[in-house]
Amino acid sequence: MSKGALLERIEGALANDRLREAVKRATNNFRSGKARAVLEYDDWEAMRERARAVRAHTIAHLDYYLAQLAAKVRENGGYVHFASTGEQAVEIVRKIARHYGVKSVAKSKSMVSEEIHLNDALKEDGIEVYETDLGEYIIQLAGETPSHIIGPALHKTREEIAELFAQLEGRTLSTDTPTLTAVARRQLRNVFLTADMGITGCNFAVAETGSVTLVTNEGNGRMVTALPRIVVTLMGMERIVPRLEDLDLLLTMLTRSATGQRATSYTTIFSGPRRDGEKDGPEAFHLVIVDNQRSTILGTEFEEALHCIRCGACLNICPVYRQIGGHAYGWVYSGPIGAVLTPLYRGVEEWGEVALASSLCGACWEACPVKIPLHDMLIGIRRESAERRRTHPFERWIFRGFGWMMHRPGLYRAAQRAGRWLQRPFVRDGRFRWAPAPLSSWLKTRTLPALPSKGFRDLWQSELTKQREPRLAVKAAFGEQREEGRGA
Amino acid sequence: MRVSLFVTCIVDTLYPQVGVSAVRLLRRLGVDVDFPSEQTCCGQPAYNSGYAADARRAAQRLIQAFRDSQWVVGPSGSCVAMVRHLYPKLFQGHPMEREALELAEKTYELSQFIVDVLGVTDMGATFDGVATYHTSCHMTRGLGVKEAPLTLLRNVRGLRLVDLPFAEDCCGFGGTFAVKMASLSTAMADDKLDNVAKTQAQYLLGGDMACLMHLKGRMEKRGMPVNVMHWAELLELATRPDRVDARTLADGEVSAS
Amino acid sequence: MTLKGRGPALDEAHFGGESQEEFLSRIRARLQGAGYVADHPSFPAGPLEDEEQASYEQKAERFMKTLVELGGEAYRAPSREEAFRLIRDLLLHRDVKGVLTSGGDWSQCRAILEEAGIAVESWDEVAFSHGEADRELARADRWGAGLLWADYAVAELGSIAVLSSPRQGRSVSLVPPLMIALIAPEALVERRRTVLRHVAALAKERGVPSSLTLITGPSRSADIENDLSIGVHGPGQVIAILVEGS
Repeated sequence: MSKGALLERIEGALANDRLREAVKRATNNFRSGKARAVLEYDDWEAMRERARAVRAHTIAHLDYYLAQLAAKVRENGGYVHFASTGEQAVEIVRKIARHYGVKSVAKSKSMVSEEIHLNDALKEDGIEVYETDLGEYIIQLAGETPSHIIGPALHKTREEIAELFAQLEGRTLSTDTPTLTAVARRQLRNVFLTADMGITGCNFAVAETGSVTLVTNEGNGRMVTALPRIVVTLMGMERIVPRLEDLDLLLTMLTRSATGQRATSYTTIFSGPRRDGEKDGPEAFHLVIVDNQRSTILGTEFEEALHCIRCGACLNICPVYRQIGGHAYGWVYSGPIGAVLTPLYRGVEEWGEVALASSLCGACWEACPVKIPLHDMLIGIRRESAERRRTHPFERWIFRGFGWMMHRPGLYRAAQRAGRWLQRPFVRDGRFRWAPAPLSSWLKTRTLPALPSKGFRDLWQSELTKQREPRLAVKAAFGEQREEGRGA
Repeated sequence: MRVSLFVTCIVDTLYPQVGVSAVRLLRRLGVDVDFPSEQTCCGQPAYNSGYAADARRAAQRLIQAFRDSQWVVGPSGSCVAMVRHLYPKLFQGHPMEREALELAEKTYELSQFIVDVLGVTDMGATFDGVATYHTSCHMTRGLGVKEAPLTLLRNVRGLRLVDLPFAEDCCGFGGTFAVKMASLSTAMADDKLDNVAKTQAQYLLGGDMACLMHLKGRMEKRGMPVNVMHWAELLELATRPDRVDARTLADGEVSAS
Repeated sequence: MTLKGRGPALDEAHFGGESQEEFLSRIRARLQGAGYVADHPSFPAGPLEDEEQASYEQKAERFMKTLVELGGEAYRAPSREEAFRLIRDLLLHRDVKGVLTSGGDWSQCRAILEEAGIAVESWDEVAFSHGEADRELARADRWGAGLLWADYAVAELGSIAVLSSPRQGRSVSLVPPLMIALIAPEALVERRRTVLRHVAALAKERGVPSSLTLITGPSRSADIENDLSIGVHGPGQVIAILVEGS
């Protein structure tokens, strides 16, 4: 991917008014829901800190908890597979499908499956794959990819959705929500009842009991784990909690941060195949634990990116995401967490520039329920890009010069003076009317003030240093006490 | 009490009046001000773009410039956040680490210094007008200073401070972001300015000239008739002795000494 | 094409991928490189461990209020018999012709419903293997409602919790468009954490149940232009009845 591609996608998104309106509406709903939710807790900050500690502890002992999880899943009658790469994960699922003679698959949301392009691989094997989350179903019909972790189809208008459903049903449809929902319910109910295999993602695995937790509002997570005969769960290796009761806090942080809900309509904690005497639930359960570059982050300054619980709060609050939506980020993860994960998973060399899609405002870090310092990490990715010489040579030269000049006050002052002279031909009414690239892009949409004839240090020397000011009679105590306190 | 002014390169070069206002305000509060002339830039543009080594070169100069200062005060949330919160990281394991930590500890943003250190919340200022305030991200989130400038402004008699809707949203400046992602940056500015327009304020105030340069630049292109200034400039005007009129004197609330 | 049976235990290695040892040792090497001690994790203690404190009355009020806010319905019945009559009235009102029951004793209820002309099938009686499941469940229309005894109800969330067992089918609270849950006083707890702790203790004693589901109001979605829609896949109507008295 080239820089041109990122900018092109951003420009494309900015030119799409309908998309921008939809993204703003959805993210406003999500974030105001979250803001209201947080007000219900007087100890939200303590909860964030606790959630961070739980995630940090879990990741610091990830090998221990994964081993415990695997043992428990097997104890419960399930099978566990480990995939170091996306290719391995795809191969495992294909072999499972082949083993059971699977013809059709009902899927509930899985970001890992998006990472590894699972659906395409299964289709190559002649297997029908149906996404069953309504949003995922819509974008699958449209042949698109999710644009938001929580609202994959938030960029689609109801007219577009009605059009997709109309093709499916072979009749024209009204665009009201109940009509469209009813179509999806009917179509997908049939899928649930006939699919041979269910594939799920994993919000949290529980090491203590060998369970997989799915949160959904629609109930598709339950359907997929209750009705098909075989269930396969794909989990990123970091998506685990030690104990069942740890779910309480993390589920609260997840749903409160995602949509503001106290809990989603369904929290499904399933633990392997149906037990003897049970009449529904899968007959076989396979858990696929996927690394796919995650272990390369362990032990680095980016490790906390593995703490992410995929709530989407950083997307909803991000002023960049809110302008351009998810697709502009170029891969399955978008928003600030995507701008960090994508280069880490897919290589800084090729994808480091995604970290430029941020103004470093820090809203993501403030919104994150597990306190991931995303803004620091975005700078970290930029640093990696620069150190690997993936940035533009001109830019490297500029900053080399910057460091050199700022280290030498005489040179800095000389540059100020030179600037005042050199700018003359390009200045009118105290504003630049022309500037060289890359400053020229500023001037396209904004004015830029010219350097005034005297800078601060000139004023200081010529007049300010000698001036005296009348003292205000202010009410509050003076800071002498504080000063003494510092022992200054 | 003596304070060294950390003027910041943008104020030094483009907005000297902000530095002048800072000096006058501090002096009016009885603080002696000096200006170590060796200071240049805190290094943030390089740091944020991923050039840590180049940023360190600039930062070393700043550390040296303020080596003998007791208090360092700057009229920028962003630059002060860089010194206070990012220098310790930038100099981790570096021979100058101890000095970097010392500077971080003694550096304050101007409103933070006035409110938290001097303990002054009401400067007895008077200014007629309607203003709204842009909370810059690095001041609030980076530095953690949310209330100090607002406290000072709320205590200006005659000034009506209107809440800016979605004040916590970034204005889109973001350093080199404003140039590298110019249209995105502009779209963000437009959202911010739409909200500014809703307040019907005559003045847009802020504590970071970089954000204000970006917003003012966009306003001029859009033809928005709003005055943009640093809150310190307004406070300086509002505490000028010749502005202290009979009315406020009669109230006995303020007097020039 | 028919599916192959569950059969004897499979060899995981047959499906490819990496061995557990290789996979975990890569992680271990990284973690040890970062200086972590990965042997005996002691869990970080936290300040958020408050226990159950509310009285039954407080829990009942909170549960009902919360569920109703979520779009569900909640009632209190002074006895089982009253609860069953309430169910009959609710079903008649909705013109439901047949129901599926699971978990607990429904014989008295059955008599009341059948007298009113509502067909009752018990999960114990429903016999289907997977080959027939499609057909059986496709005819789920004959079950206008699923009736069950909740294993737990959570006051703080308005949630109804169901543990799978031979007598408690997952489909009962999932497939029909209406779900009615009866809640015994001892099943009502203040916090979700209590449920999770109970189940964890249960798991230590005799193995973890194959599934624990918390149902919090009706099925919903906001995937069409962020507009709320109800009853997407799961039941669109959720009714809880707190069954009080002996």
